[in-house]
Amino acid sequence: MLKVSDLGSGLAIAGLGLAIIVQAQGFPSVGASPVSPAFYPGLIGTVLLGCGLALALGSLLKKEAMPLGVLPEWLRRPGNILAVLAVPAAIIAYGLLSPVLGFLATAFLVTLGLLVAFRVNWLWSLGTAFVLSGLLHLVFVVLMRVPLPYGFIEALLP
Amino acid sequence: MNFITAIQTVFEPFTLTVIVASAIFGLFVGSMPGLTATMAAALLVPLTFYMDPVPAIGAIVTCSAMAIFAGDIPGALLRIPGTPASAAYVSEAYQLGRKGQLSRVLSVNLIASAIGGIFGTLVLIMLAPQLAQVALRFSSYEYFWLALIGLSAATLISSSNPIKGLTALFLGLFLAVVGLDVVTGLPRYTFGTVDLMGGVSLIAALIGLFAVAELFRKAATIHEDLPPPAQVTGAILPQGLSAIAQYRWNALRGSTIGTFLGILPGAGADIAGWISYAVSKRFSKTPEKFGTGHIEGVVDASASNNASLGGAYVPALVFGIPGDSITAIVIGVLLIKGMNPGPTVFTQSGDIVSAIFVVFILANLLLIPLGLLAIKAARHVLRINQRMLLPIILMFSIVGAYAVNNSVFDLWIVLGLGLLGWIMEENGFPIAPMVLGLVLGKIVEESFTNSMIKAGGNVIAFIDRPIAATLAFVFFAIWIVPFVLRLAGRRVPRAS
Amino acid sequence: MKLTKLALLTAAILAGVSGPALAQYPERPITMIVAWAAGGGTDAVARALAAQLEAELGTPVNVVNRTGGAGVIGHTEIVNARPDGYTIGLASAELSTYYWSGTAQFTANDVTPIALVNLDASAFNVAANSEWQDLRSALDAIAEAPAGTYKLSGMAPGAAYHLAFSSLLNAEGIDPNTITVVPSQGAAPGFQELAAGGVEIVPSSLPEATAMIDAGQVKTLAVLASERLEAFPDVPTVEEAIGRPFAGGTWRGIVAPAGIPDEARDRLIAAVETVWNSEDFQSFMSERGFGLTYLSGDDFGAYLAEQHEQNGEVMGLLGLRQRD
Repeated sequence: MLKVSDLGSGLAIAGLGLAIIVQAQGFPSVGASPVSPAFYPGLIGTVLLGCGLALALGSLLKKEAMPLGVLPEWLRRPGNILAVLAVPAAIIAYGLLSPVLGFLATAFLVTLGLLVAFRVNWLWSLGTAFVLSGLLHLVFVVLMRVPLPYGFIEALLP
Repeated sequence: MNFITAIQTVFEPFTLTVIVASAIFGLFVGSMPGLTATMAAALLVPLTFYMDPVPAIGAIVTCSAMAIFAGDIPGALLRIPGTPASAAYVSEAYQLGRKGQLSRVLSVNLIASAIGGIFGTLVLIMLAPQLAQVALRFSSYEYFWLALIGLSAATLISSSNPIKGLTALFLGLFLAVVGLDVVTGLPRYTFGTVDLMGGVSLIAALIGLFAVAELFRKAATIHEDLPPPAQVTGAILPQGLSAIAQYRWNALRGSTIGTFLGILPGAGADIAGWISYAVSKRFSKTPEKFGTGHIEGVVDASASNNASLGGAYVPALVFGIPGDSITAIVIGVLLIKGMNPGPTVFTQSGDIVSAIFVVFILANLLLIPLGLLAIKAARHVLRINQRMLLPIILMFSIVGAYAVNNSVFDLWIVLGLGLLGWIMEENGFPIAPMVLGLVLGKIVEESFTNSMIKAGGNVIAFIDRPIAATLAFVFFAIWIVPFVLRLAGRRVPRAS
Repeated sequence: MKLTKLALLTAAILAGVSGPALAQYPERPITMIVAWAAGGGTDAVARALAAQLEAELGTPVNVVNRTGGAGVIGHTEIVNARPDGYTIGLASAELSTYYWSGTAQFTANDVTPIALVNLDASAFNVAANSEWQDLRSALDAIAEAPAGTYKLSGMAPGAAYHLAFSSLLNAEGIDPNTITVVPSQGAAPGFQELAAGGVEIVPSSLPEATAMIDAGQVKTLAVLASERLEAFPDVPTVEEAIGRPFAGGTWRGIVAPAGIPDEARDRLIAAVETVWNSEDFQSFMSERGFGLTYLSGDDFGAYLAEQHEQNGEVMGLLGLRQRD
């Protein structure tokens, strides 16, 4: 990912800490407990706010070279960009497609897409996707008895 | 207790077959991120209906011991812990693998696990009733101090920038807050989604922060096509044995800490590895080597998490109070088999209890040959081309994360934390303290709130009991002693 | 990339064509959701049921633990599942509390009731060295002491055993809010607090307390049931102790999402009934100390409706009710 200067990350963390504190103010106190449900998250938010400010301040004092951040190396190589993007794409595709298509079809398509994005040739990709989706089904559904999403291919199995 | 009849019961062909089969099952489950020892034990329950008590309990005991060791394997190979118990030293083990010492670190994992497991069992056999009494003295005050001591471990394991380590720890603590508040039942930071009411799943977080973050890193440098690091060849076991011999006191110390944490209900294997690793660094002669691929802490922590398994049976057998989720299942099986946990279990069902102890020892001895086979098989993984290997790992991670809760929502957690973990590591924020915060967060808040409720807001109650006061003293000593030493003006080398 | 799209399209069409034709239910694996962790009581009952339902229905029945949020996640998952009969759940007493506590939108009436399989009476447990010798003296002491003197643990506030305990106090004319709840995840940590002297009372089922009673750490003053339990003949009922009939505790039952096909509903009711009556299940339940009570389909529905009303009332008294 991108490298951010301590000023940037410090400010982001301080912002998160502040947001945690602000959100905690809305928690109502229920019952007779001497500790409000806002106390502990408020404490966490305060520490994060402090850490973030300390990082940002340290960065200013040290006069870090980077203003906020620099472009990372991988953004200059199309092959790497494709590989990096394929990771979230695979997770999202699995999450959205598996309830519709069922596990086997989704796993096959997602694996195939991943392998192609990682520049594996088509023949190997097809073979691996086929074997891997079957293997995952065997491990999780047959051996571990996890009910993975049921789809049209599963309906054909005995 | 008659150990001769116990050994005869265990060494029946059927019992032995069950034990070996569940050992292989446990090794497999442990080495898969997303499959946990608890899941495996729960799966075995319906099978145990049709078995005698000894093979039934033996299956669960063996399976869990194997799984906790096997969690180390993907950690050393790929920097992905197979179970939460291995998370503490996963970076260290991976660094060792990069240095070509894969066989060494894995055989240390293996031998230390067996030593820890046997140590925990011996304590269980000899001291169970006495130690269970001690465990009963632990109320929320004691747990509060214990949890704070655990959090202090984070400052020891994060080496570089202390502020960044603290930030990571508190990010983890914050993630643990998400969900329904136990006291009021109030949703906090859930943004109206039901899925978040259950909080951030630990397994999903581990897969995101370790596996997916690592895949991002590898994908960003995919063009390099690095060959796997050349490995030291030769027999596996001797490499580990010499390291263990060198750090034999560490193995003993890790085993002791692990057993003790296992005995305390609610602590367990997940926390044992962290504390032992931190203690190891604190008292090491070469703390500066930690985090760069140094075997010392791995010895402590590998022994510790397996030792905690035996410890968890202490309160379970004596008081029916489960030390962890696996012993909760074991208690259920015992009840079905007509054995009521309690102090009388040792007299009324003495033969079966002795047989269970024999299974414990046997399982830890079996760990060596079977673990060795697993290591040999696993080493081949690194020969697979990266462009093939990374997609395969990602698929296992996705399906594993989904399988824990059967929840698509957990995939979004995996993705979000994967991105966060990647950004954090690139910018010098360590991941380990964040995971520790996530593991301990609930215990910290609950023990604090419960103590305050019990004491009616009176803070004196926190140090009013002897064990609580001792733990409080340890906690403040951890923080004040290094400070005082520094104030003393002399740069005291950390020799202790 | 073109090929992927094509494959996707074909897959989508195929999925549409081979839609759900409920030929003879069940024709594929059934998922049984449990809102509590593996190893707990509800999980144990679910796995015992599932193992036998599998043989009865001739299809795998997989137990899935959807834990978290004091059970609200799992129960929400059951209620919101696709009503095709392939997702069912083993619900527990908390199902009828989420509506009142405001954590969920559904009520206990928004499910298809299949069968109630278990009722566990709550017991009034105190430390073995407690000065209370019987329920009467305990209740008198509670009534006289200022609010906050006595504490109980063993559950989250608003859980079934807490509500049953509060109803008992209320019936005796004692404000249930005088007892402070120290929250815990289940009975075991509660007993640990009891033994460590942190709380005075732990309401739990009797089997959960057995080990601690045998260990001489805990004594039971009364069981909140209409008759003494077979396995615990020495523990008096509330009626015997204070002359007021009172029963309360927790229950577990199989439910399905609202609106499942009648065929699936009838098949499930018949199958659960057969399993419940089987010798294996009966002996499993009694060995683990679970109470055996059975209510089929509509009777279970009526019971759920009654629970819904009762819990609304008690939770109002405790200040836990977030809606009217």
